[in-house]
Amino acid sequence: MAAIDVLKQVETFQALSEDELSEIGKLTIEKQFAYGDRLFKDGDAATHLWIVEEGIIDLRFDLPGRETSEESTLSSITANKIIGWSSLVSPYKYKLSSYCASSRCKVLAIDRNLFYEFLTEHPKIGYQVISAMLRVVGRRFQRLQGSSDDAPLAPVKMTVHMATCGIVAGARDVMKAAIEAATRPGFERVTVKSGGCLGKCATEPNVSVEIQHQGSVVYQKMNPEKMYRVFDEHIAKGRVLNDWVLEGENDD
Amino acid sequence: MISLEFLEQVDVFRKLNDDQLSAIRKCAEAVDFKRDDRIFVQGDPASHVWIVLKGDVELRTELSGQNRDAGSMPVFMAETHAFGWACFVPPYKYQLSCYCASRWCKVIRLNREDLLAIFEQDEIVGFKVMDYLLGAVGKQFAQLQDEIVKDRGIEMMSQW
Repeated sequence: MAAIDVLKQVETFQALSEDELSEIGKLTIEKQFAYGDRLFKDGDAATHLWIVEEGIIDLRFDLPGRETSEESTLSSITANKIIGWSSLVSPYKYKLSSYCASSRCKVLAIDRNLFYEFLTEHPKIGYQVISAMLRVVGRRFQRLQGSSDDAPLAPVKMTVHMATCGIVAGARDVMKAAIEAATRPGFERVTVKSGGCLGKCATEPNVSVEIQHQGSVVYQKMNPEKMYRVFDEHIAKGRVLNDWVLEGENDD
Repeated sequence: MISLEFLEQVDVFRKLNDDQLSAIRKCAEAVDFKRDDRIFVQGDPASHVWIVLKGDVELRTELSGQNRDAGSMPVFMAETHAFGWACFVPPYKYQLSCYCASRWCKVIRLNREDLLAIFEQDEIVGFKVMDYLLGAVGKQFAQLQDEIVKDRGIEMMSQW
């Protein structure tokens, strides 16, 4: 996809004209990553602003002497969203590490210095872009603030089983709904990942939900609507939706 | 009359020249409060940016149905400090309540719509002010994120 077509989808750039988007498009470089690849590391100089074009990027914190894992994911960023806004904010250092969390990730990287110079030289664009960026970062901050003020949910691992049988049955849509649901306020501690076949192909799409210190529950024949219900009832209120459960609440 | 000397001490306006400061001054209004007066309430529509001219104000979260002391630790704002960036961020509601925390305080309020009109007219002002606010919000974000990471890191390490 051409850079301008990607930029059009990004909230931060939506007020800009085709010509303005084209100018910013010239500052971008497309990069691809495979599952587990690191884009940048916590503490690195924040030299680039990144736009997710395809795939899922996890923002994680690193623990000393420990391999990265989904457990340390603070948020998962999907297509058309920006990461690396630290590149526009003093002290210009990344505060988290970022990893490709899907089989392939495609991103646009914008050099921070070139971008800021461009915005300064074109204050009309600069005003629109930075105002939009403030809205995005402010909203994320408010969500983060809400999650820290509320009684926190226990960490939740959700696995959407996405082998061929699952995908044929609609697991991609279920995965998309899970990621969207997990970005809502209050669900910051839900980690969504893809998994292999459970050997229950007839009941796909299957989704496993594991709340810390509780057993795993597998939901069967899932769809996006059911996925949201699982978030709102099981994860938020602890009410297992027994009618949809494939295996018992304590299967471990 | 609010002086340009005062306005140029306010961090968010520090990069503006006298003409730009004069434009800002036109939409600035000084308001007096007594100790414990509520300046705005968490959840109110965020219609103004505020700057402390004299005295102290405190910002704090409030828990519904409880008194003012039941919320989180307050943040005190001293002279020349600006607050109320929520007026530029959806859903445009104050995220904290604000009280006068000294015997009296004088606060400047700048109407959001008037400020936006200035920014539209002179995008350099808009760019500089928004750029400053992005930095300020980014700093608060990073601090809060550090706290959350610390709590979760300790929790994960303790499970080893």
